[in-house]
Amino acid sequence: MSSRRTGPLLLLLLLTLAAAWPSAPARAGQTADNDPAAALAAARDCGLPAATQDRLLAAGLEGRLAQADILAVLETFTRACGQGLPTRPLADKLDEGLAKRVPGPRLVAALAGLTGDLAWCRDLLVRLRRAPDAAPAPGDVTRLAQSLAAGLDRPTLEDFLTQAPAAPPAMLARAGAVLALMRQAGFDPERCHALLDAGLARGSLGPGWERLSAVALLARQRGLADDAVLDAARNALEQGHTLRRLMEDLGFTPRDVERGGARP
Amino acid sequence: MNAPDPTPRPDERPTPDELLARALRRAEDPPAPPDLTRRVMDRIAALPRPAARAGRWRGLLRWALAPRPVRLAPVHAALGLAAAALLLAGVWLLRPAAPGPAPAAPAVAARFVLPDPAGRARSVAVVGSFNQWDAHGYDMRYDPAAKAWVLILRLAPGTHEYAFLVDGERVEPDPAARFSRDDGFGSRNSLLLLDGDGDVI
Repeated sequence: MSSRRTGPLLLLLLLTLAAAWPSAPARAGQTADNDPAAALAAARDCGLPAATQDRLLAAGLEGRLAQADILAVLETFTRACGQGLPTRPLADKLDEGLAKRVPGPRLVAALAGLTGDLAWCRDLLVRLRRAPDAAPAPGDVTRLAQSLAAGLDRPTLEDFLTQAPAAPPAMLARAGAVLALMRQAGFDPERCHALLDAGLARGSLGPGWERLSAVALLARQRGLADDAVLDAARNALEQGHTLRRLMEDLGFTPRDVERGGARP
Repeated sequence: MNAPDPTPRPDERPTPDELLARALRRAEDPPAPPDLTRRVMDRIAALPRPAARAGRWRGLLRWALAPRPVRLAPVHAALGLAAAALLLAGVWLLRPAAPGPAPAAPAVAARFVLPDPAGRARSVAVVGSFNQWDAHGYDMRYDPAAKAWVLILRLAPGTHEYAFLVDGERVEPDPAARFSRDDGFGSRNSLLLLDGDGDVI
């Protein structure tokens, strides 16, 4: 929806909200946080994309979201921003929820849950950093939170990263993401911990290793034993090799591995 | 008007022209001298050679500047204009890009497939993190031979979440996806892992 079309729609929504608002005496106990226009402005200042704002307001005009839900969404977004959390994943989740036509309360709950995960992951990475100035980047916090969405629970993730060799936040976040998918694929957790520890200690767990789970799964489908695959991966990481080298060692070519559910 | 009868009438004396015409008709064609060709070629070779380069270029210039009529069918003119327009468009599109930030890793082709043997769905689209979950422009095509909805996209390397939007209202994960994430709304998103080197993995 273009900005030119949604400008009048935004004004109409604000006027509607203002007309439906209680009279002055009833508003005496309310705070500025309930001001829709102020909430929108605050969210925009925190990086809420214009297109996402348009979709949110359109959902309100279509009656899919109640006024209270819209305000709650905006408040969650702004609060996360105030806590120094990355807001991009929240905007993405909001886009997703609006596209999926999720009911308002569930949308609010999902955003609140994601905010909680982001805060927890950020605090964990801060505790594990090697230097005070090694602040986790927003992408690292987001990637670690995605490992929770992929099935890792907080205690397991915390135990793994706390006991793992010290490493930069980006590599720790990558290890968490890989661990989540390896466990999702059913590989032995302890052996997965060991190979990831080897990669963290060597500093060889680069971005290319994020697809280790797909390679390991294909190796299993080809009849290779899980132990052999995990041992080969550990050896490769200890040697500082790339995932492509592991694939060659396992006898694969890049075209052998299918990408998730989408095929070439 | 008929030619004059050459036969003189008894009472007329032939004119000098008539006498000449009779003589020419009766005369035999004399044979050409045997060395006529050689003598003519020798005379030609003896003629002064013109300034070839100046003459050639002058001749070309005269040719280029001389107006001449051109006949062209309208359809041929239209085809010519279309070809010229295509050529210009190709030159413009292939022009060197302005310098900017370093190019990202090359996009990787990914094929999305949703089996539908019974052909129950009226429409299917792919929504995901790569298109802000907006289905517009991401409609899948039903392949009758495969009995499935298919769409090929070129995406940046990395990990993408996606799902299928069926009939514009129902969101379904990819039944063939090996990895997924909780979407926070009570369902799961499928994961697509694309190799960062731009190769299929």
